[in-house]
Amino acid sequence: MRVSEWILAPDLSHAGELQLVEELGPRARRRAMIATAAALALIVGGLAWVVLRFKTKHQFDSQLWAPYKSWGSWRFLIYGLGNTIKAGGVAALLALIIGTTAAVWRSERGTQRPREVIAGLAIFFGLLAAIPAWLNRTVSKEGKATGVSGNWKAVAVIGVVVIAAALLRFLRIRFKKTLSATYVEVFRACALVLLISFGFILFPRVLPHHSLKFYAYVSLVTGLTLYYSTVIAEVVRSGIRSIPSGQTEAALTIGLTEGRAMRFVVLPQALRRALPNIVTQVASLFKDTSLGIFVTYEELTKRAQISGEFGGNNLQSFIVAGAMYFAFIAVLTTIANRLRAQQRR
Amino acid sequence: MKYISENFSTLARAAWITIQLSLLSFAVGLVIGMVVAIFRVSPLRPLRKFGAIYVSLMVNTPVAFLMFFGFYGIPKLGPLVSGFVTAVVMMSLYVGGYVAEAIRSGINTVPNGQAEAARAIGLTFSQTVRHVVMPQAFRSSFGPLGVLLNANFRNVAVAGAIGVGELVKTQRVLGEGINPMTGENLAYAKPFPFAMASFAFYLVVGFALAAIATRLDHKLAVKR
Repeated sequence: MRVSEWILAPDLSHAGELQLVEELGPRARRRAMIATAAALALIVGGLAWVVLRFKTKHQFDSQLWAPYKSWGSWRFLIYGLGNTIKAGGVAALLALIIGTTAAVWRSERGTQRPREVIAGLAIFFGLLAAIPAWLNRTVSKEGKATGVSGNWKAVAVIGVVVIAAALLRFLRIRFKKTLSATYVEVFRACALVLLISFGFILFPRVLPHHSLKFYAYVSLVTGLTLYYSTVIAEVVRSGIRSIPSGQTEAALTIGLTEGRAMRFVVLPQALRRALPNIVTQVASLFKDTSLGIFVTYEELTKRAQISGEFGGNNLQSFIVAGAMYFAFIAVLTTIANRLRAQQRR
Repeated sequence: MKYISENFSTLARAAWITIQLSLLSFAVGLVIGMVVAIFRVSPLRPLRKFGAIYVSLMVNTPVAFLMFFGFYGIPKLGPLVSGFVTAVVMMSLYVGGYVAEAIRSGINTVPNGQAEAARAIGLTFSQTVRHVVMPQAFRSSFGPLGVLLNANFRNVAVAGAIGVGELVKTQRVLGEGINPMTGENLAYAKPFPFAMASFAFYLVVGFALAAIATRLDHKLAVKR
């Protein structure tokens, strides 16, 4: 029986992994067939129910689908997808650069000391606390300089920087390692939506006199970059750690400096090894461009919603947009899976 | 600080909604994911296909899109439900796909000898899965599941887009100078304190969740 052969064929795509059943006997075959029939009935029944819902709620009516029979609505959505790619592409590029740098800095030899953790947090929250102070300066610049004069402020800033640098040196805190570790841990723990909407309140104050569209774009790209650079940093770092230490030792032996050993010997191998996971994360980044809805950025999700409100065909617009998303992201996911399979061989 | 303490109850309420949302959706997602993972390793090809399609649908669709789809699209077919319910349903469907992948990779770490031994002593498929494979698989997928729980906690902020009063949405409204619970205007519109406060909340809970997950992972890991 052909059908039963097809149904009971073992899963060869995972050959060598766990096999839960062996060749079935006649009784087990019959049971398996019944189970399959029941499951299929459930799945098909569910789908049929959905189709019926469409029918009874008149969602198949041609005027609801009519916009997608002409080019206009498609173009509207495709431009939305273009905006998605515009934001996601830039963010992905930046995240790759920053993430790789952070991973390399963090991979400096030796574990992180407690005082380095504390220093990192101090630097980070110091900068964070400096933002409102700095913003107040921008806001009040309309009038004359109030309070301390500009010269004294400059002297104070330089003084603080010098003292901080001396302190870091004195406590033997590795600046790059500390900075990158803090950066990664802090931004990885934050909700992406919060980062994006934080940018949307920050940028109009820092860079005044731009359009709303500009702010939306910049805050979306910044938020995505901050978050995904930390994710990529972790992926690359685990790649670096997977390279045997003999590689570094050999490189040092033939006279490379530590930085060069990392750049020319370890990093190329690590990046190659981390590539599948990097592609997965880039796919995830492109998915998260849909968070642009929080800052009124007109990417695909937002445009699908607008199109749906405008034509009274929410469901249809979202189905079309969903198909576009799926087609786009699935390409990236498939590439990642192919690469992963290639490496396993 | 004054701004935070004056609106503390509003913020705490919103944070509680965030926690509720993330725990509820993760619990349902865990069930969905477990079922789909079993589908994906089952001996019946139609079930495997169904599982694969489900996972690829969820993994290749943005969560914010799903949220909008659930809020604007699906009500055209069925009854209207509240934003909270929509958010829980869509989040659990979404996270279910990822949980299925995590558990499946856990299942694949169980050595073949375990299943062979189970069959040799006469256990059926469902017995093998329930008593031999799943307990081990579950324990070795604790690491990825912990990461997912953490990611889910951060992702539920998306529910703000469909009007659920979780933390990110609430701090934003507060920052614009409106109390989202009473609708009345505050005397000030200060976005930064509220954003910083919720940032701190995410940091603290995120670190705590990560620490707990790592602890559990180390404790439960199967030595091989």
